[in-house]
Amino acid sequence: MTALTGAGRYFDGRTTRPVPVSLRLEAGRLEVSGPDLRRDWNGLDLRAEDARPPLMRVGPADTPERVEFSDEALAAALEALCPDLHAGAATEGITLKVTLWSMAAGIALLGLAAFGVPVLADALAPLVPVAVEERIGAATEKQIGYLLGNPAACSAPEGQAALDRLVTELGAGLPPGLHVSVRRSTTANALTLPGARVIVLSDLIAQAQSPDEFAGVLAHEFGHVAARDPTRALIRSSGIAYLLGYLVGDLAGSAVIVALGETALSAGYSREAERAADAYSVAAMTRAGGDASALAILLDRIAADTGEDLAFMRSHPFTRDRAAAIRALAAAAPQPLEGRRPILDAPSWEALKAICAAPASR
Amino acid sequence: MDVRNTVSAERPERGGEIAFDQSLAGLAGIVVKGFLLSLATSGIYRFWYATNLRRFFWSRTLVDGSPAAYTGRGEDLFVGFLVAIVVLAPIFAGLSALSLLLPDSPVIAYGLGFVALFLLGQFALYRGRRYRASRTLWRGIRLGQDGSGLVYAVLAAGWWIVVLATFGLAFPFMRAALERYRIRHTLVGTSRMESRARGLAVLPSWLLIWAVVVGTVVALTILAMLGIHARGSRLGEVVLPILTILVTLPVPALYPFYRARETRAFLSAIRLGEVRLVSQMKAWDLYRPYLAYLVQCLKLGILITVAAAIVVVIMMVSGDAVAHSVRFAIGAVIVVALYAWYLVSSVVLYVRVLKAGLWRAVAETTRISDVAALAAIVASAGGMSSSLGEGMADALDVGGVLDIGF
Ligand SMILES: [Zn+2]
Repeated sequence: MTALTGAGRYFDGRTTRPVPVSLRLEAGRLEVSGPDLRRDWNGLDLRAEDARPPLMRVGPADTPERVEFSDEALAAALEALCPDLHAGAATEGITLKVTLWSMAAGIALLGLAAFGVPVLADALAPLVPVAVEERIGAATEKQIGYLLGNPAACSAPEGQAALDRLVTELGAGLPPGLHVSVRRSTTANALTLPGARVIVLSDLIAQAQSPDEFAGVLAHEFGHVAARDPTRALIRSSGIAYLLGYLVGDLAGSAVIVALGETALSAGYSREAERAADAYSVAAMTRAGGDASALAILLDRIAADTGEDLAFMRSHPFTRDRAAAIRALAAAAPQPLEGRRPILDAPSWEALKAICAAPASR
Repeated sequence: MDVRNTVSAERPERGGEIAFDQSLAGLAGIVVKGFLLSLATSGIYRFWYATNLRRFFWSRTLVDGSPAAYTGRGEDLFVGFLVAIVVLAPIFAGLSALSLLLPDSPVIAYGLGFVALFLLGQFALYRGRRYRASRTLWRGIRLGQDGSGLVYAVLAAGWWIVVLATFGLAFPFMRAALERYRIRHTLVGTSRMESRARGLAVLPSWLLIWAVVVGTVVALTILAMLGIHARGSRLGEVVLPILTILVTLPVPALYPFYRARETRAFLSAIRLGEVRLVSQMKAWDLYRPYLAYLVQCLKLGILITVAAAIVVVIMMVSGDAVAHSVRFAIGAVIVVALYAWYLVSSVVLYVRVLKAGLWRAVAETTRISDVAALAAIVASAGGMSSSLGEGMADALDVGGVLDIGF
């Protein structure tokens, strides 16, 4: 094997002073010689740093000494000679490992968002002081009013009296701050906010075919109040937004991914929360002497009526399953001895239906 | 043969020059791989992607013929990101609790939140720079940064108050003050850098922009008032919106001009012992990458539009030869493919044309005045610093890890 020679610059790694040297590659060893300088490096110990060919910056792995040269023949010979020339220039070789690990980390963080955050929310929700919850509720109600286009509050006196009677009958055992208000709207829905606030959108009353159907929905929302589900959902969705927002960082289109993830992970309450609220509704309706299965009738009608797409179904999913479960619970509940009568008498129900009638106060 | 003249085969360097790779061979591969793997790992791979990008940019930058080296690792950035999540969580929880507890005075809550985020952001920027400095080597000499991220954040906040109080006139003085703080706390081995950046030097260029902005605001106000009177007329519907756009355009178009002047003045104000930097940057050097990027994006857009049009024509001509469902499936695949092509190409263009173009503009207009004096630089025993700042910068979306600059 013939010797390859070339010229280069030597750096001692302690100063930036370049020393012109001549290089000689022979029998697996790189000889560096210059004024007052002589190095004889084993090719197997050599490591090259990142540089654009033909420039090469090379030296032994265990010292900071390096030589730089731009000689294609010498560079090619070194590449052929030194198997570990680019070892330790880590990131290239371990792409697969890094990819797998970062996939695992990504899945772990997503898992934390999907499963850890709800557990955390369950633990934290009971610790939120009532005063704070009330303030959050007030702020949210303002915001929701704004989102719905500031609908007029409905409180025709007779209707309000009927509603108050329902609330007292169904809401026994709930915190004293319980506050139910009706807003004029063309969507049929009821919302529970933090701080024991329930907002009924007037179309829900219009869509209900009996007072018991409406009362069933109201009692269901009271179930959410009793379990403090809104506070829990608030903590959960902010936690998920926090994690997902930072997970994805500043990649192109990340805002879309974050928004999608948040919606998918925190839409409405969990299936368990809905079942619990349904069970609460059945219990409260039975206690008040109403028809606990009326809620199931309403749910079935909503499920069958796909064209109408009631908002209540979107925020309260799994309609058919729930209707069946409610029927089963209601059948098992003790039946009233003197036979069933509607939870509101006809005049009161008429008054409640007219709660949004003309002289609505602002 | 003088070895210093053999550094690059096709582009011989004179001593003291700073050069950047012309061909960028291999960069597109790093970008495509990094982008796709980041998507596949829901973003986590971006820390290794950023590391690969930095290694490329550092090692393709030759200072007096020797390449710089970036020794940071993706793991560092990832750990910094995890720590930042944990450190920032209580701060964010506190801020949102504050805004809930003060529902009647949202201005105070938002103001406090804004100030806290601003301070955190500046802190993160400074600490991120410290991480990058301590992972940067040249001829085996490690760079470093001392000084305090907290002091820097307070300094930045104080100067922003002054800038706002002077309606923006103090902006170049703020830039100079922060540049001096950064540079004077930057070390190359044991040698400390010195900056003599002065706001006064770039004030004339800034006044030009400032006058244009003030003029624009006045013009927009007049247009808005005209618009209120001319509502419903042709003047109000067509002419005024066009005028508004035309009036607003010069503002972003002028900023690179100021940045070029500032870069030139600030780089030329840097000293390292006896060594001086000399920047010859002209405004055109910064406009060129932006224009090239714009042109390339337009070309990409046209290319994709033409491809889509051809596909549509073929689909229409093929008529009833194939079943509806098959045609729909083929169409969907083609749309997805075109979109993926567009996404990947635009990311490649962004890094290859814009980022690399700006980097080259700064590098190749800068020279080192006295190369012989560079030999006085001696390595220090200083260690490397933590990556928390980088993680926070990423989390707070200031600079972010994908930022390659130094
Ligand atoms: Zn519910």
